[in-house]
Amino acid sequence: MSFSNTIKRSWNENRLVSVLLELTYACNLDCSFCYNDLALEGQELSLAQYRALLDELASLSVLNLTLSGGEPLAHPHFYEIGGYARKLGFVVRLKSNGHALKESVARRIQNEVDPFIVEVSLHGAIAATHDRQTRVVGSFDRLVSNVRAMKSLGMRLKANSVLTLWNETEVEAMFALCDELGVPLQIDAEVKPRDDGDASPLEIAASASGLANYSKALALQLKGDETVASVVASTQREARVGTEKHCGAGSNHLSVDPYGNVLPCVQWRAPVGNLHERGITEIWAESITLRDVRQTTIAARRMLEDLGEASLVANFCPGAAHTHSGDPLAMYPAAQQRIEPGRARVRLPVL
Amino acid sequence: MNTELPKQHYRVDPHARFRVLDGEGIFVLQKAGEVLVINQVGAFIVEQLQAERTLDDVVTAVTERYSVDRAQAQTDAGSLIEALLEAGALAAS
Repeated sequence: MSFSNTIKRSWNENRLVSVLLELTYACNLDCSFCYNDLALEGQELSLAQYRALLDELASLSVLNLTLSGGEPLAHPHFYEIGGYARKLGFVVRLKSNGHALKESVARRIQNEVDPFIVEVSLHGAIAATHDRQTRVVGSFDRLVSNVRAMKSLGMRLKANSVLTLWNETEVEAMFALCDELGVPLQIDAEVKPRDDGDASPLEIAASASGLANYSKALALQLKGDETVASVVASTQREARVGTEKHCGAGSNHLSVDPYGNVLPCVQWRAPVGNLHERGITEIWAESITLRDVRQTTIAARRMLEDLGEASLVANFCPGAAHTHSGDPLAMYPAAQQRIEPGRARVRLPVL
Repeated sequence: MNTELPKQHYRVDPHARFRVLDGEGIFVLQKAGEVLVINQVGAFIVEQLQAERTLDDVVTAVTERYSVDRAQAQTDAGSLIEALLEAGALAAS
Protein backbone atom coordinates (compact mmCIF):
# COMPACT_ATOMS: atom_id res chain seq x y z
CA MET A 1 0.00 0.00 0.00
CA SER A 2 1.36 3.42 -0.86
CA PHE A 3 -0.05 6.87 -0.41
CA SER A 4 0.98 7.95 -3.90
CA ASN A 5 -1.05 5.07 -5.39
CA THR A 6 -4.02 6.12 -3.28
CA ILE A 7 -3.71 9.66 -4.60
CA LYS A 8 -3.35 8.45 -8.19
CA ARG A 9 -6.48 6.32 -7.81
CA SER A 10 -8.31 9.41 -6.53
CA TRP A 11 -7.61 11.11 -9.90
CA ASN A 12 -9.11 8.19 -11.77
CA GLU A 13 -12.07 7.67 -9.48
CA ASN A 14 -12.88 11.34 -8.82
CA ARG A 15 -12.43 11.17 -5.06
CA LEU A 16 -12.05 14.57 -3.46
CA VAL A 17 -8.88 14.57 -1.33
CA SER A 18 -7.71 18.21 -1.16
CA VAL A 19 -9.49 21.54 -1.03
CA LEU A 20 -7.99 25.02 -1.01
CA LEU A 21 -10.01 27.83 0.55
CA GLU A 22 -9.23 31.39 -0.46
CA LEU A 23 -10.73 32.92 2.67
CA THR A 24 -10.30 36.54 1.64
CA TYR A 25 -8.52 38.71 -0.91
CA ALA A 26 -7.70 41.25 1.81
CA CYS A 27 -3.97 41.46 2.44
CA ASN A 28 -1.52 43.35 4.59
CA LEU A 29 1.01 43.51 1.73
CA ASP A 30 0.55 45.07 -1.69
CA CYS A 31 2.45 42.96 -4.23
CA SER A 32 2.19 44.57 -7.63
CA PHE A 33 2.10 41.21 -9.42
CA CYS A 34 -0.48 39.55 -7.13
CA TYR A 35 -2.63 37.17 -9.18
CA ASN A 36 -5.84 37.71 -7.18
CA ASP A 37 -8.67 39.42 -9.01
CA LEU A 38 -9.32 42.21 -6.53
CA ALA A 39 -12.19 43.57 -8.61
CA LEU A 40 -14.16 40.33 -8.32
CA GLU A 41 -17.49 40.92 -6.62
CA GLY A 42 -19.84 38.68 -4.71
CA GLN A 43 -21.25 37.81 -1.33
CA GLU A 44 -18.60 36.50 1.02
CA LEU A 45 -19.24 33.16 2.69
CA SER A 46 -20.37 33.48 6.31
CA LEU A 47 -18.84 31.62 9.21
CA ALA A 48 -21.91 29.36 9.30
CA GLN A 49 -21.40 28.57 5.61
CA TYR A 50 -17.72 27.74 6.21
CA ARG A 51 -18.72 25.41 9.05
CA ALA A 52 -21.31 23.71 6.84
CA LEU A 53 -18.73 23.42 4.06
CA LEU A 54 -16.15 21.83 6.37
CA ASP A 55 -18.78 19.41 7.70
CA GLU A 56 -19.55 18.33 4.15
CA LEU A 57 -15.87 18.02 3.25
CA ALA A 58 -15.24 15.83 6.30
CA SER A 59 -18.20 13.65 5.27
CA LEU A 60 -16.59 13.33 1.84
CA SER A 61 -13.38 12.12 3.58
CA VAL A 62 -11.37 15.10 2.33
CA LEU A 63 -7.93 14.91 3.94
CA ASN A 64 -6.06 18.11 3.03
CA LEU A 65 -7.36 21.60 3.61
CA THR A 66 -5.34 24.63 2.58
CA LEU A 67 -6.22 28.02 4.06
CA SER A 68 -5.08 30.69 1.65
CA GLY A 69 -5.96 34.16 0.44
CA GLY A 70 -5.14 37.01 -0.02
CA GLU A 71 -3.80 36.79 3.46
CA PRO A 72 -5.90 34.19 5.29
CA LEU A 73 -5.18 35.74 8.68
CA ALA A 74 -6.97 38.87 7.50
CA HIS A 75 -10.27 36.96 7.53
CA PRO A 76 -12.26 38.00 10.62
CA HIS A 77 -13.08 34.36 11.45
CA PHE A 78 -9.71 32.83 10.61
CA TYR A 79 -9.25 31.17 14.01
CA GLU A 80 -12.82 29.85 14.13
CA ILE A 81 -12.48 28.32 10.66
CA GLY A 82 -8.97 26.95 11.33
CA GLY A 83 -9.96 25.59 14.73
CA TYR A 84 -13.05 23.92 13.31
CA ALA A 85 -10.92 22.37 10.54
CA ARG A 86 -8.62 20.97 13.20
CA LYS A 87 -11.55 19.58 15.16
CA LEU A 88 -12.83 17.79 12.06
CA GLY A 89 -9.44 16.17 11.50
CA PHE A 90 -8.20 17.89 8.34
CA VAL A 91 -4.51 18.15 7.58
CA VAL A 92 -4.33 21.94 7.48
CA ARG A 93 -1.84 23.81 5.31
CA LEU A 94 -1.62 27.54 5.91
CA LYS A 95 -0.45 29.74 3.03
CA SER A 96 0.39 33.16 4.43
CA ASN A 97 2.71 35.95 3.38
CA GLY A 98 4.17 35.61 6.90
CA HIS A 99 3.94 39.32 7.68
CA ALA A 100 1.57 38.91 10.64
CA LEU A 101 3.09 35.71 12.00
CA LYS A 102 4.95 37.14 14.96
CA GLU A 103 5.63 34.78 17.86
CA SER A 104 2.39 35.36 19.79
CA VAL A 105 0.28 34.91 16.64
CA ALA A 106 2.25 31.84 15.59
CA ARG A 107 1.80 30.33 19.02
CA ARG A 108 -1.96 30.90 18.88
CA ILE A 109 -2.11 29.29 15.42
CA GLN A 110 -0.09 26.35 16.68
CA ASN A 111 -2.44 25.89 19.64
CA GLU A 112 -5.76 26.49 17.91
CA VAL A 113 -5.25 25.38 14.30
CA ASP A 114 -2.22 23.06 14.57
CA PRO A 115 -1.33 23.27 10.87
CA PHE A 116 0.79 20.56 9.28
CA ILE A 117 2.82 23.27 7.56
CA VAL A 118 2.94 27.03 7.22
CA GLU A 119 4.02 28.36 3.84
CA VAL A 120 5.33 31.91 3.65
CA SER A 121 6.27 34.14 0.71
CA LEU A 122 9.83 35.27 0.10
CA HIS A 123 10.39 37.80 -2.67
CA GLY A 124 14.13 38.38 -2.54
CA ALA A 125 17.33 37.77 -0.62
CA ILE A 126 17.61 41.34 0.61
CA ALA A 127 15.19 43.88 2.06
CA ALA A 128 15.39 46.24 -0.91
CA THR A 129 14.18 43.58 -3.35
CA HIS A 130 11.60 41.92 -1.11
CA ASP A 131 10.12 45.24 0.03
CA ARG A 132 10.05 46.52 -3.55
CA GLN A 133 7.83 43.60 -4.53
CA THR A 134 5.58 43.72 -1.46
CA ARG A 135 5.46 47.54 -1.53
CA VAL A 136 5.68 47.50 2.29
CA VAL A 137 8.86 48.86 3.83
CA GLY A 138 10.21 46.58 6.55
CA SER A 139 8.36 43.50 5.32
CA PHE A 140 11.59 41.55 4.66
CA ASP A 141 13.02 42.10 8.13
CA ARG A 142 9.69 41.24 9.68
CA LEU A 143 9.38 38.04 7.63
CA VAL A 144 12.86 36.85 8.58
CA SER A 145 12.19 37.61 12.24
CA ASN A 146 8.83 35.80 12.11
CA VAL A 147 10.36 32.77 10.39
CA ARG A 148 12.98 32.51 13.12
CA ALA A 149 10.26 32.75 15.79
CA MET A 150 8.15 30.04 14.14
CA LYS A 151 11.19 27.79 13.78
CA SER A 152 11.91 28.23 17.48
CA LEU A 153 8.34 27.06 18.19
CA GLY A 154 9.05 23.90 16.19
CA MET A 155 6.65 24.72 13.35
CA ARG A 156 7.15 23.11 9.94
CA LEU A 157 7.73 25.86 7.37
CA LYS A 158 8.25 26.30 3.68
CA ALA A 159 9.07 29.41 1.67
CA ASN A 160 7.52 30.05 -1.72
CA SER A 161 8.81 32.54 -4.23
CA VAL A 162 8.09 33.68 -7.76
CA LEU A 163 11.03 34.43 -10.02
CA THR A 164 10.78 37.98 -11.31
CA LEU A 165 12.87 40.52 -13.16
CA TRP A 166 13.63 42.10 -9.80
CA ASN A 167 14.85 39.04 -7.88
CA GLU A 168 16.28 36.93 -10.71
CA THR A 169 19.87 37.75 -9.75
CA GLU A 170 19.30 36.70 -6.13
CA VAL A 171 18.27 33.07 -6.57
CA GLU A 172 21.44 31.60 -5.08
CA ALA A 173 21.30 34.08 -2.21
CA MET A 174 17.65 33.22 -1.57
CA PHE A 175 18.54 29.52 -1.34
CA ALA A 176 21.43 30.43 1.00
CA LEU A 177 19.13 32.53 3.18
CA CYS A 178 16.58 29.72 3.40
CA ASP A 179 19.31 27.20 4.20
CA GLU A 180 20.41 29.46 7.04
CA LEU A 181 16.81 29.76 8.26
CA GLY A 182 16.30 26.00 7.95
CA VAL A 183 13.36 26.37 5.58
CA PRO A 184 12.96 24.68 2.18
CA LEU A 185 12.46 27.10 -0.69
CA GLN A 186 10.37 26.54 -3.80
CA ILE A 187 10.64 29.03 -6.62
CA ASP A 188 8.01 29.25 -9.33
CA ALA A 189 9.75 30.51 -12.45
CA GLU A 190 6.56 31.81 -13.98
CA VAL A 191 4.81 35.08 -13.16
CA LYS A 192 1.14 34.43 -13.83
CA PRO A 193 -1.44 36.79 -15.30
CA ARG A 194 -4.02 38.01 -12.84
CA ASP A 195 -7.01 35.74 -12.33
CA ASP A 196 -9.15 38.02 -14.50
CA GLY A 197 -6.69 37.57 -17.38
CA ASP A 198 -4.95 40.94 -16.88
CA ALA A 199 -1.41 40.38 -18.14
CA SER A 200 0.16 43.39 -16.43
CA PRO A 201 1.99 41.25 -13.79
CA LEU A 202 3.98 39.75 -16.67
CA GLU A 203 5.78 43.10 -17.00
CA ILE A 204 8.11 41.86 -14.27
CA ALA A 205 8.43 38.29 -15.58
CA ALA A 206 12.01 37.03 -15.41
CA SER A 207 14.27 37.64 -18.41
CA ALA A 208 15.78 34.86 -20.52
CA SER A 209 19.11 35.27 -18.76
CA GLY A 210 17.31 35.31 -15.40
CA LEU A 211 15.61 32.02 -16.25
CA ALA A 212 18.98 30.57 -17.28
CA ASN A 213 20.56 31.70 -14.00
CA TYR A 214 17.64 30.27 -12.11
CA SER A 215 18.07 26.89 -13.83
CA LYS A 216 21.78 26.97 -13.00
CA ALA A 217 21.13 27.82 -9.35
CA LEU A 218 18.47 25.16 -9.10
CA ALA A 219 20.79 22.59 -10.64
CA LEU A 220 23.28 23.31 -7.85
CA GLN A 221 20.58 22.31 -5.39
CA LEU A 222 20.13 18.98 -7.16
CA LYS A 223 22.44 16.06 -6.76
CA GLY A 224 24.41 14.01 -9.25
CA ASP A 225 23.78 14.41 -12.96
CA GLU A 226 20.27 15.71 -12.62
CA THR A 227 19.26 18.85 -14.43
CA VAL A 228 16.13 20.90 -13.83
CA ALA A 229 14.72 19.65 -17.15
CA SER A 230 15.46 16.03 -16.27
CA VAL A 231 13.77 16.38 -12.89
CA VAL A 232 10.70 18.02 -14.40
CA ALA A 233 10.55 15.37 -17.13
CA SER A 234 10.94 12.56 -14.62
CA THR A 235 8.20 13.99 -12.41
CA GLN A 236 5.87 14.37 -15.39
CA ARG A 237 6.67 10.85 -16.61
CA GLU A 238 5.87 9.46 -13.17
CA ALA A 239 2.65 11.46 -12.99
CA ARG A 240 1.47 9.87 -16.23
CA VAL A 241 1.69 6.30 -14.92
CA GLY A 242 -1.61 4.70 -13.99
CA THR A 243 -3.90 7.51 -15.10
CA GLU A 244 -5.22 8.95 -18.32
CA LYS A 245 -5.46 12.44 -16.81
CA HIS A 246 -2.91 15.23 -17.02
CA CYS A 247 -3.62 16.43 -13.47
CA GLY A 248 -6.04 16.08 -10.60
CA ALA A 249 -7.82 19.42 -11.16
CA GLY A 250 -11.49 18.82 -10.47
CA SER A 251 -10.79 15.12 -9.99
CA ASN A 252 -9.21 15.00 -6.54
CA HIS A 253 -8.99 18.66 -5.62
CA LEU A 254 -10.99 21.87 -5.74
CA SER A 255 -10.60 25.49 -4.70
CA VAL A 256 -13.19 27.84 -3.26
CA ASP A 257 -12.92 31.62 -3.57
CA PRO A 258 -14.15 34.05 -0.86
CA TYR A 259 -17.50 34.43 -2.65
CA GLY A 260 -18.30 30.73 -2.72
CA ASN A 261 -17.26 30.09 -6.32
CA VAL A 262 -16.01 26.51 -6.59
CA LEU A 263 -13.07 26.15 -8.98
CA PRO A 264 -11.33 23.05 -10.41
CA CYS A 265 -8.06 24.28 -8.88
CA VAL A 266 -6.52 27.51 -7.66
CA GLN A 267 -5.16 28.28 -11.14
CA TRP A 268 -8.18 27.17 -13.15
CA ARG A 269 -10.58 30.06 -12.58
CA ALA A 270 -13.64 28.59 -14.27
CA PRO A 271 -16.38 28.18 -11.63
CA VAL A 272 -18.09 24.81 -11.58
CA GLY A 273 -20.68 25.90 -9.01
CA ASN A 274 -21.34 28.34 -6.19
CA LEU A 275 -21.83 27.49 -2.52
CA HIS A 276 -24.55 30.12 -2.12
CA GLU A 277 -26.63 28.03 -4.50
CA ARG A 278 -25.62 24.41 -3.86
CA GLY A 279 -23.59 22.44 -1.35
CA ILE A 280 -20.16 21.07 -2.23
CA THR A 281 -21.40 17.46 -2.20
CA GLU A 282 -23.98 18.24 -4.85
CA ILE A 283 -21.54 20.24 -6.94
CA TRP A 284 -18.95 17.44 -6.72
CA ALA A 285 -21.45 14.80 -7.81
CA GLU A 286 -23.59 16.67 -10.30
CA SER A 287 -21.84 19.68 -11.83
CA ILE A 288 -21.80 19.25 -15.59
CA THR A 289 -19.05 21.88 -15.84
CA LEU A 290 -16.94 19.80 -13.46
CA ARG A 291 -17.46 16.74 -15.63
CA ASP A 292 -16.24 18.79 -18.59
CA VAL A 293 -13.14 19.82 -16.60
CA ARG A 294 -12.33 16.17 -15.88
CA GLN A 295 -12.66 15.37 -19.58
CA THR A 296 -10.43 18.33 -20.39
CA THR A 297 -7.66 16.95 -18.18
CA ILE A 298 -7.83 13.76 -20.27
CA ALA A 299 -7.74 15.82 -23.46
CA ALA A 300 -4.76 17.81 -22.11
CA ARG A 301 -2.87 14.59 -21.50
CA ARG A 302 -3.52 13.42 -25.07
CA MET A 303 -2.55 16.78 -26.51
CA LEU A 304 0.77 16.72 -24.66
CA GLU A 305 1.46 13.12 -25.60
CA ASP A 306 0.97 14.09 -29.23
CA LEU A 307 3.78 16.62 -28.77
CA GLY A 308 6.13 13.80 -27.80
CA GLU A 309 8.90 13.69 -25.20
CA ALA A 310 9.49 17.43 -25.37
CA SER A 311 6.12 18.02 -23.75
CA LEU A 312 7.42 16.47 -20.52
CA VAL A 313 9.31 19.65 -19.71
CA ALA A 314 6.47 22.00 -20.67
CA ASN A 315 5.03 21.90 -17.14
CA PHE A 316 1.76 22.68 -18.90
CA CYS A 317 -1.13 23.78 -16.69
CA PRO A 318 -4.67 23.80 -18.15
CA GLY A 319 -5.58 26.39 -15.51
CA ALA A 320 -2.79 28.72 -16.62
CA ALA A 321 -3.83 28.15 -20.24
CA HIS A 322 -7.41 29.06 -19.35
CA THR A 323 -6.26 32.28 -17.66
CA HIS A 324 -4.08 33.22 -20.65
CA SER A 325 -6.60 32.65 -23.42
CA GLY A 326 -9.82 31.19 -22.04
CA ASP A 327 -8.88 27.83 -23.62
CA PRO A 328 -7.48 25.26 -21.16
CA LEU A 329 -5.94 23.31 -24.03
CA ALA A 330 -4.13 26.19 -25.72
CA MET A 331 -0.35 26.39 -25.34
CA TYR A 332 0.70 29.61 -23.59
CA PRO A 333 4.00 31.50 -23.84
CA ALA A 334 5.77 30.18 -20.71
CA ALA A 335 4.97 26.53 -21.49
CA GLN A 336 5.92 27.09 -25.12
CA GLN A 337 9.27 28.57 -24.06
CA ARG A 338 10.02 25.52 -21.93
CA ILE A 339 9.04 23.13 -24.68
CA GLU A 340 11.14 24.61 -27.50
CA PRO A 341 14.63 23.60 -26.25
CA GLY A 342 13.26 20.14 -25.49
CA ARG A 343 11.92 19.87 -29.01
CA ALA A 344 15.28 20.88 -30.43
CA ARG A 345 16.99 18.17 -28.39
CA VAL A 346 14.50 15.57 -29.57
CA ARG A 347 14.80 16.61 -33.20
CA LEU A 348 18.58 16.73 -33.30
CA PRO A 349 19.20 12.98 -33.74
CA VAL A 350 16.60 12.90 -36.52
CA LEU A 351 18.40 15.66 -38.38
CA MET B 1 -0.07 -7.14 22.73
CA ASN B 2 -2.54 -5.04 24.65
CA THR B 3 -5.31 -7.58 25.22
CA GLU B 4 -4.98 -7.24 28.99
CA LEU B 5 -6.79 -3.89 28.65
CA PRO B 6 -10.03 -4.89 26.88
CA LYS B 7 -11.98 -1.98 28.40
CA GLN B 8 -9.40 0.59 27.37
CA HIS B 9 -10.44 3.33 24.93
CA TYR B 10 -8.16 4.66 22.22
CA ARG B 11 -8.41 7.70 20.00
CA VAL B 12 -6.48 9.24 17.14
CA ASP B 13 -3.49 11.02 18.65
CA PRO B 14 -4.12 14.80 18.79
CA HIS B 15 -1.09 15.34 16.53
CA ALA B 16 -2.21 12.79 13.96
CA ARG B 17 -4.97 12.99 11.37
CA PHE B 18 -6.98 10.05 10.05
CA ARG B 19 -9.18 9.54 7.03
CA VAL B 20 -10.51 6.55 5.16
CA LEU B 21 -9.75 6.99 1.46
CA ASP B 22 -10.95 4.40 -0.99
CA GLY B 23 -11.25 1.82 1.81
CA GLU B 24 -7.71 2.35 3.08
CA GLY B 25 -6.92 4.12 6.33
CA ILE B 26 -4.56 7.08 6.01
CA PHE B 27 -2.80 8.46 9.07
CA VAL B 28 -0.85 11.70 8.70
CA LEU B 29 1.62 11.95 11.57
CA GLN B 30 1.97 15.70 11.82
CA LYS B 31 5.03 15.84 14.06
CA ALA B 32 7.03 13.26 12.11
CA GLY B 33 5.77 14.49 8.75
CA GLU B 34 4.94 10.93 7.74
CA VAL B 35 1.99 9.14 6.19
CA LEU B 36 0.93 5.71 7.38
CA VAL B 37 -1.43 3.61 5.25
CA ILE B 38 -3.38 0.73 6.77
CA ASN B 39 -5.62 -1.79 5.03
CA GLN B 40 -9.40 -2.02 5.02
CA VAL B 41 -9.65 -4.13 8.18
CA GLY B 42 -7.27 -1.78 9.99
CA ALA B 43 -9.32 1.21 8.84
CA PHE B 44 -12.47 -0.47 10.16
CA ILE B 45 -10.79 -1.04 13.55
CA VAL B 46 -9.72 2.61 13.80
CA GLU B 47 -13.20 3.79 12.84
CA GLN B 48 -14.60 1.63 15.65
CA LEU B 49 -12.13 3.15 18.09
CA GLN B 50 -13.12 6.63 16.92
CA ALA B 51 -16.69 5.73 17.81
CA GLU B 52 -15.40 5.31 21.38
CA ARG B 53 -15.69 1.52 21.43
CA THR B 54 -13.44 -0.48 23.74
CA LEU B 55 -10.98 -3.03 22.39
CA ASP B 56 -13.43 -5.72 23.49
CA ASP B 57 -16.23 -4.12 21.46
CA VAL B 58 -13.93 -3.71 18.46
CA VAL B 59 -12.98 -7.38 18.52
CA THR B 60 -16.66 -8.29 18.55
CA ALA B 61 -17.31 -5.97 15.60
CA VAL B 62 -14.39 -7.41 13.61
CA THR B 63 -15.52 -10.96 14.34
CA GLU B 64 -19.02 -10.19 13.10
CA ARG B 65 -18.04 -8.23 10.04
CA TYR B 66 -15.23 -10.40 8.72
CA SER B 67 -16.39 -13.79 10.05
CA VAL B 68 -13.08 -14.54 11.75
CA ASP B 69 -12.21 -16.43 14.89
CA ARG B 70 -12.44 -14.24 18.01
CA ALA B 71 -8.99 -15.18 19.27
CA GLN B 72 -7.47 -14.27 15.88
CA ALA B 73 -9.39 -10.99 15.78
CA GLN B 74 -8.19 -10.14 19.28
CA THR B 75 -4.56 -10.88 18.39
CA ASP B 76 -4.71 -8.89 15.14
CA ALA B 77 -6.55 -5.90 16.61
CA GLY B 78 -4.19 -5.84 19.61
CA SER B 79 -1.13 -5.95 17.38
CA LEU B 80 -2.45 -3.17 15.15
CA ILE B 81 -3.28 -0.94 18.10
CA GLU B 82 0.11 -1.57 19.65
CA ALA B 83 1.85 -0.63 16.39
CA LEU B 84 -0.28 2.49 15.97
CA LEU B 85 0.39 3.56 19.57
CA GLU B 86 4.11 3.13 18.97
CA ALA B 87 3.93 5.16 15.74
CA GLY B 88 2.13 8.01 17.48
CA ALA B 89 -1.02 7.49 15.41
CA LEU B 90 -3.21 6.48 18.36
CA ALA B 91 -3.28 7.49 22.00
CA ALA B 92 -4.95 5.85 24.99
CA SER B 93 -7.84 7.93 26.30
